Amino acid sequence: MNAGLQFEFERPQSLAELGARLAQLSAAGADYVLAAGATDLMPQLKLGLRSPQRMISLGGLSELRGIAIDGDGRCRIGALTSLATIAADTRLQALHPALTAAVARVASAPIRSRATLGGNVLVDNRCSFINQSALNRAAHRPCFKAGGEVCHIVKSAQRGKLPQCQARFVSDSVPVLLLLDAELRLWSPRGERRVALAGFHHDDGIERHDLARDEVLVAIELPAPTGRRIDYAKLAVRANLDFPSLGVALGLRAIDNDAFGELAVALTGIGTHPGHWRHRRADFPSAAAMLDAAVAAARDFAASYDQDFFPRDYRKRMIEVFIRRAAARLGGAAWT
Amino acid sequence: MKPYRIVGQPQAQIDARDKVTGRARYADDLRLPNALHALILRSPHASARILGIDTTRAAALPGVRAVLTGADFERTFGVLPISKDEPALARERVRYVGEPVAAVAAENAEIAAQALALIAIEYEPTPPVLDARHALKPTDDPLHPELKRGDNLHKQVEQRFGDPDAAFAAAPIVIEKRFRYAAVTHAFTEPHAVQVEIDGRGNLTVYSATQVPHYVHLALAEVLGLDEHRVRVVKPHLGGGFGGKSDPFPHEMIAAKLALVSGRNVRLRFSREDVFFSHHGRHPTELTMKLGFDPAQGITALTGDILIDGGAYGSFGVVTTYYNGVLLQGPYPVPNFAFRCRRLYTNKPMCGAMRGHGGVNPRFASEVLMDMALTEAGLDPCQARIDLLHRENTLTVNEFRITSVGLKRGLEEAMRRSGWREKYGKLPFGRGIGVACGFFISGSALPIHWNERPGSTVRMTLEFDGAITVYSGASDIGQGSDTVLAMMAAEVLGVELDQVKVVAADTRLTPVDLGSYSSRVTFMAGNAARNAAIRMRRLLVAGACRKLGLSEPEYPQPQPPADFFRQGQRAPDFEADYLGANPDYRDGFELSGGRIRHLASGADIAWLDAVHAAIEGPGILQTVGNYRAPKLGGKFKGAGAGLSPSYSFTAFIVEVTVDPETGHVRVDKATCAHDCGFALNPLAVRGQIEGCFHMGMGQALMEEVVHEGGAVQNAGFLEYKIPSPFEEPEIDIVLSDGEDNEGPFGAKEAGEGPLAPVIPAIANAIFDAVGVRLQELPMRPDRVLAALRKAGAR
Repeated sequence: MNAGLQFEFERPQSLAELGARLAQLSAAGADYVLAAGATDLMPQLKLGLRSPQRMISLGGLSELRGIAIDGDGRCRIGALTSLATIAADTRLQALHPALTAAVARVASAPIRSRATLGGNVLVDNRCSFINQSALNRAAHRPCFKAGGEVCHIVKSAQRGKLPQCQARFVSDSVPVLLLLDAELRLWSPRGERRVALAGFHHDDGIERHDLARDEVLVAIELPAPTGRRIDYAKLAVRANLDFPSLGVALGLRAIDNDAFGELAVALTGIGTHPGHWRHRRADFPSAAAMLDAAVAAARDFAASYDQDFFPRDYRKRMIEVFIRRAAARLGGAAWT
Repeated sequence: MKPYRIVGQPQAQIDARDKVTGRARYADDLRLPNALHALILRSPHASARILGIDTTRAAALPGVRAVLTGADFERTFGVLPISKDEPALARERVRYVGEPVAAVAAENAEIAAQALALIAIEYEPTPPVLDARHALKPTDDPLHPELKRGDNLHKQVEQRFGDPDAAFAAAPIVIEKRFRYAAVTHAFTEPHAVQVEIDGRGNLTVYSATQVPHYVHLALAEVLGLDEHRVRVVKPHLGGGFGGKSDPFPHEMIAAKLALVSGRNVRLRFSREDVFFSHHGRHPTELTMKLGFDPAQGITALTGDILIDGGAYGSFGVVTTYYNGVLLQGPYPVPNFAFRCRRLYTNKPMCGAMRGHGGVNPRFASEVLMDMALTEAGLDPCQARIDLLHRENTLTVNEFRITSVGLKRGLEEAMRRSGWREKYGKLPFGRGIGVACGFFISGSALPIHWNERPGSTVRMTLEFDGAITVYSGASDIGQGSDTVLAMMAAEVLGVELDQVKVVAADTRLTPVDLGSYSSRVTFMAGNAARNAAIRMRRLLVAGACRKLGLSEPEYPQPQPPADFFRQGQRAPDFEADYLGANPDYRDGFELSGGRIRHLASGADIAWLDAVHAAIEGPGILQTVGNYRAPKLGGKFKGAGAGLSPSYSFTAFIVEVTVDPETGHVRVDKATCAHDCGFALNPLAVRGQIEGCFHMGMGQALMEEVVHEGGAVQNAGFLEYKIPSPFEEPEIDIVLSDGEDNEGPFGAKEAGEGPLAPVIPAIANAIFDAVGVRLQELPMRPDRVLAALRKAGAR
């Protein structure tokens, strides 16, 4: 009944088969969408935000599923691995407990059993004016992300100026993955490449990242643990179901026997892309000064708008609360 | 303990297994042969004139069988006869985003969707009125020109009793505060759905997810211009209502009209967003309340000035306007009392009745003010509330008849179990405990449509095989009313629960019952069922006597108990049917274990043999029971609002943890004392109380329908924040062991009353935790934090 839900469906069984198909479809200029767990995609189709002619399920690509950990603690997590699988993996929890914690806070148990880590890295940005039905979007004027000419969040925005769209970045996993120095393995019929997660996402709610049209995220790779201890905390009014109104990952790593050698911060939920900073103790007169600088950088980054359950001023204020609390959890009272 | 086998025992609902195994059929699960799919085209404008509608292309689409616009309906409708202001499809103007403007019925949903897209509507948008304050302003273009007013006021109610001004002047403590409330909605599980079956003679059977089959029946006949006997309304299993399904709706009129036009069966179902458009939720409210308090006397005066934002149409709004004031007449005496409540029309989905109808929002204000007064007076807020509760068998200043009040004992027990005395004022900063009380009607004594018929009638049959069938027009909306009716029949007739079948909410098969609203079913349909069962028992005993060669017992003329409370000199009508809150049936027989035993002689007979003896003459045993409320109330204008044969009383004690840096409030524990008289099914009562708590906690802390330019921006359960199970605390429930003289077996309501005190109890606990008073709902973390910062800055 809904136009977005009428599409051809196919399910290739290998990357090779997928590659051949993508090459064909690209050459023909065909309209398609790739689907993994589809927990982000299906609501968009139902709302008519996208109405592809063809859905290509990645579900048959078993080679994209699973968690491999080598003797040095390097991890390769297949992009199609479900969040439930990751949250339940005891080896991964021993190595990277913050990743387990962040993944376990995504949505709800039924969704985590379908949703994939690749999908969470690539999850679409959200805005209270775009994640709406056709009728609601007709009640307002179509915004940039809906192909229109206005932004209801930044009324002065004009086409062509970046960021074009202030839709929020809402991945719970990415802040932790950033602090784990994650790399993404991207595959297309043209070949395979490896990019750092840092810098992969763009400062724009529409053109959100570096993934090419015919590219597939096949794996998230984590280097051997660097000794960075990581804390992830999420602001949401409920303990499950909700996207982060703010998510803060904080990492503390010793350098040259200084437990406060490096402070890393990554934010989600508060801007168009993840915020990410690293501060070296050596550059500051004190650990407290380093922490102050981390707070200041995060607050400056957060161009927060009223497009969430919580008002913008509150979310901005919570950045500092969340960073300082995480710092206390990781470093105790020794920050002074 | 009372000598009951079935009532008073926790019973799983009789349809529980069907529901959890998926066997239960809801309105959209039915499969009528060859049904057309209906879809509704809705307005994208909050306020606009309709300059033209062109349906020719839609009607010409192959597979389309009927297309309707506002021109196809002559009459508007509404649940209250005094505000029949809603069209099935908008005519001339649209009044909210989502209002139905046109509808189609087609061979399948895809064709129907294509047809909708082919309907061309020319709108001329007009400036919308989006809040109640704006709606008070003079305008030459009101939402409802037919009222011939120069503004958007829908209803204004003012009442005054005693001399509040003098009482305030004399009161040692006077507190006045302003409170604000967001819109909240019912969020029932099952979206609205309706299916219409049409027969070869043009008669309609309408299967609808409704709390009020009788009112839907009447409205359908009137709007469609059909004789009432041509319409039959059936309520299948229903997935929650909470007041959101207690009106006749446009979609019911539309589906029925489509069936009449096409001559085909029609199916229509709502999306979750459609439910938010339909709404009928709690009114966004702004109010100022003033409390006068004297530690020696209690409340000396209470006044309120209340503004409620009704949305585009009337619904139950006139009742809501009264309830916002009159339901402040409990749970404590208020000797001097005045209020003004105004309901405004705005360009938003309409508000209506929602669980705790009209009594929830003012209760937040009155119980916060009460807490402030008790704190200022240096009294213990819990003990003082117990001391101040209404006395039994008294009249309020607006002449509500207060009969049973069982809360005193219950709240004393809740106080003990919650550790109140050890905790109140003694917990560390950030942790707190708070209490609040409330009361609610056990059914409205007056019908919506004035007539002299009983409000509830139950028919009961008993056949040769021992099958007992209860025919009741009451709607089980998930609260378990079918179960409670079956329990009473089984109790009285001495059989097990599974021998009783309930046929309910089918306006062709079941006698008129006004419906499931205002917490009336257990009290009113329950009394009718109990009386039908007692009459059936007499037929059965007569059969047993015949077989056993005994003479039939002589039944004494029923007498009300010695402490029965007559209001003024009025004779209560129900005395004719009165059989007591604690009936001993007065027949000298025991019915149990498949036997009927004469207690005096010890002679006994198989239960089924007695049936066979009794049935020889009539071929079937059949009885009828009724309930009609006693004549109640004063003689002033608006005296009927809030009249009930009985009132429930509730208190909640709530413990919270408040994070002073984030403002986040976590409810750690709730202890409830509820006076529902005799708990017929304690399991269901507990379920209702837990549900009330969850709903109250949602309104207290996070729920809010957000509008932008009139459009609902969070029409789904991701962004409309209902608390998840993770937010639900342990809930300890104390049920009063009292009984009400007039309730069936002594029962009163339990489905709505427990909600209202939840919200102020949380607010009062926040005050105990961190010393700030919140006066706006929801008490979101940012508001708690802002209040803390403001307090810190002082």
